[in-house]
Amino acid sequence: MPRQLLQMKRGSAELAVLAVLEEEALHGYEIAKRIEARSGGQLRFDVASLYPLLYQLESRRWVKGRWEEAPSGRKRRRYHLTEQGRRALAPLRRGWRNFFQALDLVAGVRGA
Amino acid sequence: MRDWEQTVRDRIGASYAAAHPEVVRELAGHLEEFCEDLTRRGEPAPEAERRALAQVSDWLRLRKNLERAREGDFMKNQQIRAVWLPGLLSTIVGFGLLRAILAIGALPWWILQGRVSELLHQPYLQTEICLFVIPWVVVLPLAGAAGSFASWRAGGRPVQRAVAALFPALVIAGFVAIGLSMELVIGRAPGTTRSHDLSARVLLFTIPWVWLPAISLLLGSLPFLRLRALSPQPARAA
Repeated sequence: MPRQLLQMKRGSAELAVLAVLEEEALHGYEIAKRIEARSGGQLRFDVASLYPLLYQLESRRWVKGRWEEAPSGRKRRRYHLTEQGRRALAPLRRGWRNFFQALDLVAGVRGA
Repeated sequence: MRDWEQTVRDRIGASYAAAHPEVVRELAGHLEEFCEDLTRRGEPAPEAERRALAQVSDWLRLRKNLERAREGDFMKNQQIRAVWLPGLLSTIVGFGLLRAILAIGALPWWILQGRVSELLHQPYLQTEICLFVIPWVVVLPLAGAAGSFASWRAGGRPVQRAVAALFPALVIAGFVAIGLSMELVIGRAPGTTRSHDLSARVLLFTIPWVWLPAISLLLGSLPFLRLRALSPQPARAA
């Protein structure tokens, strides 16, 4: 896959994860399910794609994970958006909005 | 029912699993929930397990991606903390000491210059070397020690501590390299300087201003090069 395309894909994945965490704290599996449901099955995260991304966001301090015990007794790590993550989300959203507007002007993707 | 933690441990590698049990627990939890979801929706257990395992086609690659994700930014920050900032400290201390020597040396300059000039007959061994460089080289281990200590405190490896200590000499070497390049590019009037003259001048300039300070800085850093690394870990959530 070309490098630019990989970076785009990565950037869009970051936006998707941060956007669902903006609403509420979720654990990894819930994040994947929420994104899949919200995108009508178009965006899918599996273990191999989700956790490297979550850990990277955590090392940037955009999200923070905390172990919690579910009523079933299972321990899960719930992620919430930090203040830094909230601040990072706004320019990401703006950048992608501008990108799609530009692409729409060039290629008419919205009406396609 | 499958032991998902054991499955992840087996596939991701024993050493990684031992070092990162929380990652194993988290990945296993994800796969287990995925599998349970499928069986709740009527998928037979073996098929659900197969689909869960298919989420990771290359465990070695996943392991590398996880390592990179958890430690990539940390490494960048670590280099700033263990090399660049201690190097800056070493440079400030080193040039601060030179500035102090220049300030002190300026007072008896007119007295000493005549005496030193009488003693020296070498064209390249100039009076400022005796008046400023030698005292500077004598006190420079302090700068090397400061840079090396700061690097050690930041968890720097011995090589990083040595590089941090050497910064003042590296800065001067950088200026020499720039000056030399400019001289080579701009050139000189034919016959005024032959190339071997230039090499000799560079060598004779770098011995007192680069090589001797480098040795002195390294001497200052020696006690801290032998210390055991503090090896801080990347920030992890509990």
